[in-house]
Order: sequence, then structure tokens, then C-alpha cells
Amino acid sequence: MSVSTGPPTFDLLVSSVEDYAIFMVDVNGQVSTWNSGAERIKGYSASEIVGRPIDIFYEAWERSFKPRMLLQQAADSGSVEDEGWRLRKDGSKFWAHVSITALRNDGGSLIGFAKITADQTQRRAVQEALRQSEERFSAAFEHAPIGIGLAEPSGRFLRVNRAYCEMLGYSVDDFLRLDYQTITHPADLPADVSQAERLLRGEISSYQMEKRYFRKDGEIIWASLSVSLVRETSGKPRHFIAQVEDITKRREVVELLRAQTALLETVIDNMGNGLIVVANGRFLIVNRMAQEIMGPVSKDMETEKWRAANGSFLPDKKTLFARERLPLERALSGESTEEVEIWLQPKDMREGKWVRAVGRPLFDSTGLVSGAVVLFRDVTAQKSMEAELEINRAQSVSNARLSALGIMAGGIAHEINNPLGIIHGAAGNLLDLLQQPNAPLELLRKNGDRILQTAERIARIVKSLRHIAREGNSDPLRQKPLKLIVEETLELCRERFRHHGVELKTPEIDDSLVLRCREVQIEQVLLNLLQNAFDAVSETEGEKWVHLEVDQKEDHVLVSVIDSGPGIPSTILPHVFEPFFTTKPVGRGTGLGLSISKTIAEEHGGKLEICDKAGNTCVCFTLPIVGDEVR
Amino acid sequence: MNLKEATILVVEDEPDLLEVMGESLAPVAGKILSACDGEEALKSLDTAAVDAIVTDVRMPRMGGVSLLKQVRAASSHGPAVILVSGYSDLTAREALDLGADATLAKPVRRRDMIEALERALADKRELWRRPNLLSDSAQLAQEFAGLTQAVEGGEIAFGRGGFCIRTRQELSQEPISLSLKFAFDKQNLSGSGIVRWDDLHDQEAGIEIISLAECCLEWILALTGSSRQGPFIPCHTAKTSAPSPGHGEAVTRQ
Repeated sequence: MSVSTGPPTFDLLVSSVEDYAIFMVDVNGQVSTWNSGAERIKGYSASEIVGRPIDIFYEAWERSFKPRMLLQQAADSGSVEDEGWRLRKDGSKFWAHVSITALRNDGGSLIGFAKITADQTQRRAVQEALRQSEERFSAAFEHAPIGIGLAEPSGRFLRVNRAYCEMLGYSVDDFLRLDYQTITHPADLPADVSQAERLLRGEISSYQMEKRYFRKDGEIIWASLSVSLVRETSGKPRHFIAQVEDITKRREVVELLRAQTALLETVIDNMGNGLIVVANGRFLIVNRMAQEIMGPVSKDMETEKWRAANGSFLPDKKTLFARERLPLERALSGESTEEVEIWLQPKDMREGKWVRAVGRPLFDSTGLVSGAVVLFRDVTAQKSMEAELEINRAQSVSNARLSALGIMAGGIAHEINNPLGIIHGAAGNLLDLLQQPNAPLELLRKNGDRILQTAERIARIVKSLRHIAREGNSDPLRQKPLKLIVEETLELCRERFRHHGVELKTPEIDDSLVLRCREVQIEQVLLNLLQNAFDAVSETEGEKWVHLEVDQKEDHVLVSVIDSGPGIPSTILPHVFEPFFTTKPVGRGTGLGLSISKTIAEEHGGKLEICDKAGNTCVCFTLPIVGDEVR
Repeated sequence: MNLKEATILVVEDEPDLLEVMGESLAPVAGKILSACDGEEALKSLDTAAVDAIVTDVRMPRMGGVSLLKQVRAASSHGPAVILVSGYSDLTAREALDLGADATLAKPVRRRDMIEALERALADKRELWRRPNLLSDSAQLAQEFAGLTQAVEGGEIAFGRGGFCIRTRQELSQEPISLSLKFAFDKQNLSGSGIVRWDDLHDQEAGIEIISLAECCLEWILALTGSSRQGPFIPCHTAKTSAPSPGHGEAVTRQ
């Protein structure tokens, strides 16, 4: 191509092109022509640049080789293209697309180069931004912790990420051969498809659902699915974007939680006790038994409503229970209550109930009272049974005393048999004497006296026996000298001790020592203690004794019964005061002795204890005494 | 020995009763000694020749059973011992097995005491030779192959005053006439006795011999011996080795 000889119209065209720098370079690499585009892009006017080497367009570091290299390549191959940073006149850089064409004359000799440069700084920036954006999307897509998939409107997958693949166990290639319909559980498919269709029709912009997927290995997993649609500019659907999260574990936990909650509810509902939980002024839990016992209370009911007519009475069945004393209220104020007995009879309840209730506060994590739990039970039946038992117990006590009397009878027979023998013998002697003509009067009188005295002795024993065999528990409290009480008791057992070689030592008791008591009961206790002591020593070897000691204190008297027996083993010591506890053989004791004795002692304001006195068993019977001023 | 010539030791811890008993025996007995318990009685025996002891069972320090055992252990020809027991102290079966010559229950009738003493003091031959006064009373009749077989087979056991016999017969506590034939020995125990105890459960009865026919007198005297040791009437035959209920309990190992 020959520029100098070209038609003027072409020159005009070239010089007026503004978007491209079009200029020529001579074989020496110097600018020979310059158009307006070149001036605009590079900032040099024609006069400034023509005749100067093209090197100045290049950055300093490549100036020494790049321009020459490009020209050489153009010369060698006819033309060359390049992209790269170039310098404007003002030193600023622009991204240039350069095309260099070797110009040859008709003889084929190189006469120069045509160079066309376009400023592509702008376009490059846009391309860079696009590239980065694509990179970012890809990274986000690939590395997202949830499964993401793009699918055609038909359902076939276009692109799936790693998480999605792992979730379902497919490779990417496998996956891209599938559609979502194939991997969705049939039971969940209709809902999924109909939602997708609505999305395609533009009725909705996205949808969420929980559905089941088949994994490649056939296993079923639960996933939470969120789907939206990407449309082309024309509005035509391009592809679905599905976000999928495996919620199998979560569902299992939820399921477990649900099962446990249900179990807990079942347990609470089937408890034999009533249970209510109150928080924020409402009944949070009211189990079935609670409803049965309390009547008109239900879950979510406001406690205030119940309070108005709770129908709780004190055990007298008449006095209303002070509201703040109810276990619920006490628990709500932070107190753990003991078991409280309540007579419950709300207005609409025909028959009242005996209820025993315990309240416990509920604390939140900061330690503040957040509510209360009340556990209660209907004890009406139990109460009536207890009443019955109480009657039975009273009868047992009575029977036990009778049986104690039966045991005593053996002893009493002894007590009476001896004096009876005396009377018998004396009477026989009298009859003998009467047959003798000269019977000495002295002997006659002696036998008569003996009969009289012995009969009186029997009368005393019988009196004591009759006395002690009475119930005595409804007798009025009377003042009685301890001395008489002890004597009357000894009347019933003195002989037995003597006959079994058991030494019974009793002290001289001051007449002024007066008890205010039901004397029969005190005698019963004393006899019981002496009987026990007797039993403890009578079978033992060696020295046998029972000592009765009386020790007067300021306002009470201590009567101790000490025996030489082997002592009470420490293993049974804690039980000796329990009703029906006995170590005696069948028929000799029902075990009510000590327990009744203790009760009697306590009813008299005294006590009964077992202690050890120099290795011997000592039962201490403490009783208040009547002071002088009272008498 | 005649009661009139005998020395009787009365042991009783109840002073009044001791005195009354002494007084009631005084007109019929030779000499009356008294003691208030077993220990005192043993002391008296050391210093005086006593023919019979009448003792209470329950006494302080030493009771009647211990006294009896000690007396029997001391000599095979000691005094006769009559135990007087109160309420449920000791059964006749136990007392007679222990070697008492008789038991009496309180209150003691004077006549019973005297009779028991007379029997206990009497010579066995003279006592048993007395005519059988029973005519149409109940009869205990049994036949045995021989004495040895009967004893070893647990059919009968002899004491020094009677025997324990295994019998299905229900016996009343009345005097009965006896007819026990021992074929091998060619002997016939014929006479009368008193049922001192009977035990329907073990089917045993304890019988004291009252009188014997002349034909068997010597044989039985030889069989029962002259010693005062051993049971008066055994409480069991050889077959019942187990003690009868209540036996071990009442006779406390004193």
C-alpha cells in the first residue's frame, strides 16, 4: 500500500478517524504520519511527534526491546497484534490494542509500518470485573456448606455444588444426568412439582419445603429446600436455583424431643399424684389426677381465677386456708413446703376430699423464682383407713394389756397360791385341833389369826390385780404418793421375784413424794418394767437382782429399774420402743409393753428412756411431781 | 418305816406356810425339821438323819428340783423326796422322771401329804403286797413277747416305783387293775396301779404300782430295785427319744 500516492479521500478518512490512532512508522521506527485519533488517544499533536521514535509510547522497562521486537515481527510476518499498557504524552497509561502492518513497495522492499492503536482501557476494566465476579460466584457456589443446584425448567440439573453431591452421594457427572423429580420421594413430589409450576407461572417468587430425597445408596434423607427462579431478560425462565440442607439429624433430634415430651406428658398425666406447675400466673401443667382432685382447673387457666374459689380448708373443715399458707403460694414465694393437709371442697364439688400437698418453687437460671410445682394426693381413703387402723391399734393395745395380764396371771397364781396354802393348812390344823379334847387355845387362836391375816393378804393382791387390770386411761388425774403406787405394784410381783431367787431391792420412799397421775397406768408401767427386768434376769446364771431406785429432783422424780441381766444388744436397742417389737418367745409378750409404757409416761408429762448404768440395763422413768404449793 | 418314827424335813420359803405345814405334820410324824430353801435343807441333811423331804419347787437361792438332784446324787439310799409345786412349775411326769417319790400340788391337802409320806417311807415289798382292793375298775391289759424285747422295743420302761408304757388305750387318772403278760419270761404283772400321767400324743402313760399279786411280786421287786436313784417313773419308753413338750422348759437347769 502506498500512502503518499493514495487518493485524497482515503487520507481524509484516516486523518479524521477519532476512535483509533492510525499512523505510520518508517523503517527506523520513527513516526511519519499522525491522525486525529492518535492525537486524541496519545495526547501528542502531529508536529510534536512526527519524526520521533515510537519508543516513547512504551513503558520505560520495555522501551529498549519491545518496539523493535514488534516491528521486527511485523516485518517478518507481515503484521503483528499486541495488547499492553502504553504511555500518553502526559505519562498516564492506557490499555492499548495494537496492530502493526509492514508496508512494502512494489519491489517488495520494506518502506515502513502502518500502526493502528485502540484505547481499550474501559473495556478491559469491565472484563476484569466480570471475571472476578464469575470467580467469586463459582467459589461461593462450589464451597457453600449447603447444597446448591441449578436446574432447567424441565427439572434436569445444570450445575450442582459439592455439598449437594455429597449429600446425595452422586458424582457431578451422575448428578447432571438426573432431574429433581427422580431423586425426590414420591410422597413429597406432587407438592414440590406444583410449587415449581407456580414458580414458573410467576405466581410466586420462591418456595420452601421440607422433603425427602433418595440418596444414590437408596437411603432416604430429609432436607429443607428453598427454590427460586432465574429468568432471562425476556422473562423466559432460564433455570431454577435450589438450596438444599440436610435436616435428617435435626429431624431425628426434634423427633426424639417430641417423643420424650410425649412420654413425659404421658407419665405426668398418668401419675397417681396430682401435679400442677404454675408460671407467669397461669397453670402450665395440670395433670389428669390434678384435675380429678382439684376439679375446675385446666391448663393455661389463670391462677387468679382458681384462687378466688379454691375451696381449701383447714383440717377442721370449716376455716378457710389462709391463702398465703397454701403450698402453691408458699412455693411461689420461694419456699419449699412440708406436706400440708388440706380439706378440699370447692363450691361445685359435692363431697370434699382430704388432700396432702407439697409445694416447691421453680427457679430460673438467674436464681429467681419463676414458678412453682405442687404435688398432691387424695388421702381421703387413706385417712379413713388410718382411722380404722387407729381403732385397731387401740384394740391391739387393749389386747396386749390383756395378754400381759395373762402372762401376769402365772405370777399372780403364785402370789395367791402361797397364802392359799397357808389358809388351807391352817384350816386343816384347826380341824385337827378341834378333834383333840385338850387342844391348846393358843394354837387355835394362832391358826385363826393366821387365816384372817392371810385372807387379808389375798384380798390386797386381788385388789391390786383388779386395780391394774382396768383400762385406767380415762381415769381423772389424781394425786397419789409414789410410795403407795410402788407398794401396790410390788404386791403383784414380790413373790415371783422371791421364788425365782431374784433379789428385788426397793428403796424407802418418802411419803411426801406425790404424783399427779392416773395411778393405774403408772402401776401398769412399773409392773411392765419390773416384769421385763425379771424376764431379763430370771434365766441368767449367777447373781440375779433387780433394783428399783427413786431419785427425787426439783420438779420431777426419776424411777429407775436396773437389772443384772445381760443387757440389751445395741442392735435391738433402737427398736425396743416400737410397738409389737419383742424378743420374747411367742405367748410371752406381744411387744406392746415398752411402747405403751413410753406413751403413758409421755402422757403424764414424763419420759421413759433406756440407759446403761455401770454395764447394767437401766430403764429410767421420769415423772413430774406435785410441788408443796400445789398441794 | 412308820411315819410316826420318821424324821421329816419340810422346805418352804414362805415362813407362815412352813409353820403351818410343820404344825399339821407334827401330830403324825416323828420329828419335823424345817428349812427355808434348798441350801438350808442341804445343811440340815448334813447334821441330821432325814427320812423324807417335803419341798417346795420354787424357792430363792436353791429350789426343790436342785435339792432333789443333789440329794439323789449324794446317795442311792437317801431320803424320800416329795415335791410340792405351785402353778405350772413342773409336771408330775417331769418330777417323777427326776426321781421324786411323789408330787403334790399347792394348796396341799393334809391327808394327801400324809398319805404320800407314808407311801414313800413304806418298804416296797410291804407296800405292794397289800391286797388289791380294786374290783371292777378299768383294766390295762397287754401282752409282750418278752421283757427285754418290750424294753428295747420301746413298749415299756420301768422306774423304781412304776413304769412308762406305750398304749393306745385311753386311761383315766383313776386306779386301774394291771395285767401285763411277758410270754418269754413266763411272767404276768398282775396287780393295780394309778395313772400318774398320760400323753395321748405320744401314746404313753406313766403308772405307779400300788399293789402286786404274790406271783409276780419278787420279779417286779428285782426289776425295780431297792435304790432311790433313777426315775420313779420314766417319762419315756426307749423308743421316744425326743423329750416331751414342756419338759426341758419347766425343769430349769438349775
